Amino acid sequence: MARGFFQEEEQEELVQEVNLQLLEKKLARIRTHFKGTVLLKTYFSKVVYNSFQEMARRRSRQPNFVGEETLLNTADNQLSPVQQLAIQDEIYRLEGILKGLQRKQHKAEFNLKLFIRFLLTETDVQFYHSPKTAVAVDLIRAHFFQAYDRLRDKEVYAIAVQLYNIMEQKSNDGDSLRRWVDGVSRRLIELLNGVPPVSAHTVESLKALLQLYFISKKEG
Amino acid sequence: MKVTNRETMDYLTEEGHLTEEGIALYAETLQSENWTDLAKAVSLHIEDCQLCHGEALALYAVLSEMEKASEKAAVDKSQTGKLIRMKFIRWAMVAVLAGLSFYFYRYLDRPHAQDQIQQDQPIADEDKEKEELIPIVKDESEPTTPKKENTESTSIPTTPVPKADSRVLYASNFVPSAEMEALLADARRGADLELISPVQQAVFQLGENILFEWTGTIDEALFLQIENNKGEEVHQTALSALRFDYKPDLPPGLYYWRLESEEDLLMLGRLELE
Repeated sequence: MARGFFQEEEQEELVQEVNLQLLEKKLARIRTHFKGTVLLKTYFSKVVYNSFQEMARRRSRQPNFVGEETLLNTADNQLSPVQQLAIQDEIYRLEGILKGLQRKQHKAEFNLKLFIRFLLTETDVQFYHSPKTAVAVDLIRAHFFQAYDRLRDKEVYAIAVQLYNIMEQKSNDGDSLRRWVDGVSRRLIELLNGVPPVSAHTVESLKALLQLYFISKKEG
Repeated sequence: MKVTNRETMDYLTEEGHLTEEGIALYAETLQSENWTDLAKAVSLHIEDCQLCHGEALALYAVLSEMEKASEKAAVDKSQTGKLIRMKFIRWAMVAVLAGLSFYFYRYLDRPHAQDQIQQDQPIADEDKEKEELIPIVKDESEPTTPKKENTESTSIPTTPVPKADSRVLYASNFVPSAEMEALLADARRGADLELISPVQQAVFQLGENILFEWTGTIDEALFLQIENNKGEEVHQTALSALRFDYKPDLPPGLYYWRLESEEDLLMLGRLELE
């Protein structure tokens, strides 16, 4: 429903259809294929999700793409509940991609904040505190703890790269860090848009989504 | 059900994509972030296959939404339960207070009242005492009717009521607030702050200054609130440092203090003024 495949009034009918499918076809298949390496709840959720996808295909339903139109041109208070649900779904998917970066997650999030000029706080730099990094961290505090929209990408990453050069024992310039962040953002757009496509993100809509993601993380 | 080893299990379909269980495993790992338990075959495939990666992300979104909904339901349930408990505790407290008031009124002040009568009207013997007591308590509407009444029951109205009330009120200042005690039991603490003083449940004498002091670092505005045991705020101040010397001008009783930021309750404590 969040993706616009189904309407709210179809809910009862859809639930009935999925239950029937489970009873008639899927339970036997689950018994054969489920090996118990994940929680049954997770596996079952996947099976039910697939059932809904099949139904959407059979009914030739197309999703409502989340993109610039939803994220940039609609003020928060004008969003319909379904649109809000779709954005929340998009935030979860973004979170999933970032978590999948594993050890690179913190670096990616830190630099994506710089990418959208998100104000940093002590929480962002606490991970980097050490005697060696003190000067670089102070530089970050001095520049990114208050509004820094006026700074260009080149200037922003020239400051941030000093910290990563100490951490990673490298001697890169700001442009190299900027290219790395561009790569990460391209990958995010690619994965969010999906195959087959479920969203229509651009750099601008990604920035808006990142903004929402960091705000929701901050609010806990 | 027999559980298969994750590393030896085949997570790929004949078409070379992840099975439903493989997708579920990756989504579950995103939730737990326990990457060591993720089968290598699954992580390698996810890196290269955008289709399976997308499927796993969609499932992760579904699971996260379900988790959020169940957390919300649990919070709603515990808040409802807490509310019912709080209501019950409040009524129980009212009943106890009423009982205490009656006790003070009925028994504790009776000998005191008799002492007062004896001091005001010294009498030689018990009979005279009875005779003297009756006119004091007799109904003015029947001034001439002699009545033989039990002194115990008739002496009650002579009790100085305001005095008993003030004792009850004094005692009620020390009755713990069920709501605040429950919060204290949760032992909430500011993430980066540590309390130096006052120690929890400290007792101060009237007129004594109370020093509030914490150590740690925090980059938010802080507020100190003090309320009495009835939940009435008696003092509030915005802190400019992690130290505040408070000169209370308050009646004796039990008080609770809270240290709050703009958005959160960071710490709370209890103190008594004697």
